[in-house]
Amino acid sequence: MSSSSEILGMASRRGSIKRGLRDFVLFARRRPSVMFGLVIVGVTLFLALFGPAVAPFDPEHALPGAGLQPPSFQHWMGTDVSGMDIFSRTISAPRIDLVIALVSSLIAFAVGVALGVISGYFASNRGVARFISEGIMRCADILQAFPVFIFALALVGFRGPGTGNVIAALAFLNIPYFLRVTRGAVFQVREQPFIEAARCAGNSELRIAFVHVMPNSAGPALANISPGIGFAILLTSALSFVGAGVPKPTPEWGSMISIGAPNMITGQWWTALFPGIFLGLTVLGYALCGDGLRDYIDPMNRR
Amino acid sequence: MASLLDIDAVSVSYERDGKWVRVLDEVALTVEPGESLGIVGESGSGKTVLIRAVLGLLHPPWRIDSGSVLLDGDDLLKKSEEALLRLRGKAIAITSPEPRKHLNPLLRIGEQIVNVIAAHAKMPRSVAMEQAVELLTRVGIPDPRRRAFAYPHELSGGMCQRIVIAMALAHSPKVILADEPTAGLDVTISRQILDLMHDLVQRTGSSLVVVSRDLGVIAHYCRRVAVMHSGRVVEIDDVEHFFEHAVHPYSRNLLRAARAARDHTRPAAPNPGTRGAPSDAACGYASRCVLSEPRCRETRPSLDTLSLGHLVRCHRRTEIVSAEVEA
Repeated sequence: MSSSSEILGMASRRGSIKRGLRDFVLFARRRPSVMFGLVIVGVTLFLALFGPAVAPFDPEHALPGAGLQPPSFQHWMGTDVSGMDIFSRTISAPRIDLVIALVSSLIAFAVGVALGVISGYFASNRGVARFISEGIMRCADILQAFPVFIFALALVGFRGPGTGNVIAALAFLNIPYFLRVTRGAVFQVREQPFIEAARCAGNSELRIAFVHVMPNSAGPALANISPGIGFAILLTSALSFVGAGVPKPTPEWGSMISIGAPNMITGQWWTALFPGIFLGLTVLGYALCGDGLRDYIDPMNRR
Repeated sequence: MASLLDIDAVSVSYERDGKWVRVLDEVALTVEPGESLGIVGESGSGKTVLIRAVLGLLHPPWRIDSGSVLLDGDDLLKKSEEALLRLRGKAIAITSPEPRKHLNPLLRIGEQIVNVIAAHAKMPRSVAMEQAVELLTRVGIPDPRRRAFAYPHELSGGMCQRIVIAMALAHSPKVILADEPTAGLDVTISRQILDLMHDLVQRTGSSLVVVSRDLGVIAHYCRRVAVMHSGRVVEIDDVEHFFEHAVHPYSRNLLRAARAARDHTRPAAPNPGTRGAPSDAACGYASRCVLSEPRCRETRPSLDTLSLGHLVRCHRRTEIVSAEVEA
């Protein structure tokens, strides 16, 4: 109970997003791991905006006769089998990876929270409302019963590779996570006196659900966006690795690893290693940031 | 004259472990237009449940067994949810014992009042906002235009209660149900809030039902008082008469305790005994009553008229009145 009211307290200060962000940075300063995550998030955001602009070479242009060169002053991370500069490609990749992850996570967040509110708020009702609420939960169960990667592969395979389809598949797969945490929060919020107060003022149930319950229940889902983004980046790369994601030669970590994998066996380690490190660090960064966000929201961990 | 609100023989139960526990037993109360009625009783006596029953807010595991709640002759207990939606906040409004929790923590108070206004009146939001500011002025919020942009957590408990009152008054309802309006407020603020409520209610001509544990509050602000104990109304009387001539042993104990608190003397120790759910076959107070007789544990006393407007539910009422026994 106390934690939920604190969540509300924090979110209610959203009037100044700037202040919230500053508070979070101050909080992160005392927690090196969170700071580390925050720096990684900042760097990937920067690269997503300016990566291709600051890259020394065109990330999609193959240099003739320069295939598989080891790291040098000219090519910091070497070149791949077709002569594309790996450093340029690695720092250009966040633009595609991050857009996919961000957009799919935000869609999953929006849809998941809305469905979570419906399924949570009407859970104890009878009749149609109850049927819908239970229906939503059973669909989520079915969705989560499949192995995530296989399901993503099947979805993309069904619609064909391409950025839009990857976004759609990832958003679809992420919905149940946001749905479940929101539903849990709704169970708490709907028992609060101000919900009954709203009812006493003559508000309809649907209006109460979306005007009063939803904003007060979105906190936990909000904190889940960050690790969700890391997870989505990993899945995107995995899909590209098996050739079902972003088509080549668009710079994308997963497809770069996939292109470089055969070369690693023959000794050209740089082709897959560098995008792999970037991928790993990014996922780690978003996960750490998510942990920090969760602790920041929970007053028990806040001094 | 027909009463504005006529609560008649309302019985409510809830289910626990497969058994129905009776929480309200044939509660009957009337509220006249413009009148203020105080309901007093210990916690667990059913005051809040009664309010929820009147508003149609009892859902499973709660159940209304019988009775009727007539507002202007219309039975609220028979109305559909849609019909109730049109009445709640418009014809009947409530205030809360926990005003801060009564407000949505994420909305500015101006928006919340606008929402209340918009629930029953179609108008542009800017006009509704003007009305909201006007309401804030009426409940004595200083600098209402700026306060309208405050969040509930930025306001004190007393301020929150003023805002809750403003929301209750938004549509000049026929009845305002004030559930413990002074809980959690200190004495001076309680006084201000009660004066304000009394004043505004008189001006709008609404009837007021004040639920309280504080007899002093009821003495000052109500014309009539109803005493509730373990789900039953045990005594109804005009306030002035009640303070001199209360009959029911429970009422008399309440008054004695209140006087002791005022005079800084040690109140008489309450009788040992249990406070259970009312059973059909006994007086709910029998186990704690100094005057209880075998028949008090065997048959339920009925709520009978002693004098005009004075009703008591006690087997030994006539003996108490004629001072044959000391309660």
